Amino acid sequence: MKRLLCIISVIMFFAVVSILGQNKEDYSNDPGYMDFGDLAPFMNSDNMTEVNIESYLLKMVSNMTAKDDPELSSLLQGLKLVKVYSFKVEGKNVREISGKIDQIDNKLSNKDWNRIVKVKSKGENTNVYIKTTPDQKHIVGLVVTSLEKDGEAAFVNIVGKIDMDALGRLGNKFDIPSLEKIHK
Amino acid sequence: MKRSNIIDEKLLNSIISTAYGDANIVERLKVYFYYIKDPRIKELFNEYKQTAGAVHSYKKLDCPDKILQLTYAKIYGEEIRRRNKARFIRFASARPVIVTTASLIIIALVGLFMLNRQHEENQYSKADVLKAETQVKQSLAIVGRVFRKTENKLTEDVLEKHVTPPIKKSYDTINNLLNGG
Repeated sequence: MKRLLCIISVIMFFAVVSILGQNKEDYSNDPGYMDFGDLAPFMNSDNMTEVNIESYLLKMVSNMTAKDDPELSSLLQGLKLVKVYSFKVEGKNVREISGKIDQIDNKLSNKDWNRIVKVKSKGENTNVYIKTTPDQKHIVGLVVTSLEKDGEAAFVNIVGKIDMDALGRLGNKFDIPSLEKIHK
Repeated sequence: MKRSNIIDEKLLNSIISTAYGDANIVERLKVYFYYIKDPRIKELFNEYKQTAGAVHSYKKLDCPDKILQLTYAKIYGEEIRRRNKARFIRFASARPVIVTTASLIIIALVGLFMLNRQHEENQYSKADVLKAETQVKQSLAIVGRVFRKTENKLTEDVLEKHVTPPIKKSYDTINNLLNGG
């Protein structure tokens, strides 16, 4: 009897931990997830954007925008995580960030990501990668690493079912002047 | 039926089996001897033979599995449900501790799950969702800007500066050759 109660207590403990643990979802095992490592040393608080939106909040935004912007709502429905780091680098940090982008490039190439864009010229280093399902019917991850001539760096990871056409259209649509001001 | 009562049960079975063609050789011989000897057996055998002929004349139909399953469920469904219920009651009365504990665990888990959902729903205010919407749009804008810059680079820089001039030069060379220049 004591043994039975002991087993039941252990089961209950793990069940409670797993249910409560759902609050903080772990995306690291998701095929579309990419860990950019520690970018904090490059980011100063004056000129940076850090976004980390998880699935539950994305769904809430999706529900909220369903009426006004059905395309955005539909795109967000399939997403699990949106992670963005955007900041400006200067001096020796420019070379280090460019090295970091090359490191990420190696890492993603080893993990069977497809690089769809690579631009590397003087002071500029931009790559775009996608991760597809094994049957290659759906895109489940997107990574953008970008360093521009003016020192503007961006690291983006979108996890979940991604409609690239909608992403491109919405990307153009939301590139409004007020947002430009935020980054410049 | 009356006639069959005065005939030995075993013999009747043999007659039926023989009439339907299912009997073995010994049974068939036995029936054959009775058939010759006893006119009642002969008559009975002929009756069964006739019935067997009629039965065998029916065409065999393949019944779809779905209909078979439905029929089975209709005939035995209630019985199975009754048996399962009885089995569960027997199990529950034999092991009340296990059943009570399992029920409590299920209730506790469902309760926790619902509480957790409620907590998640209350976790974000409207302002949080609005902020998230802006951040999503910012993120999409960053991606859009990278895409657009790449497109511009391809059309303005790569195609215009590095692809178009050699093609144009080739055309000029061909034109010169054709014109005898």
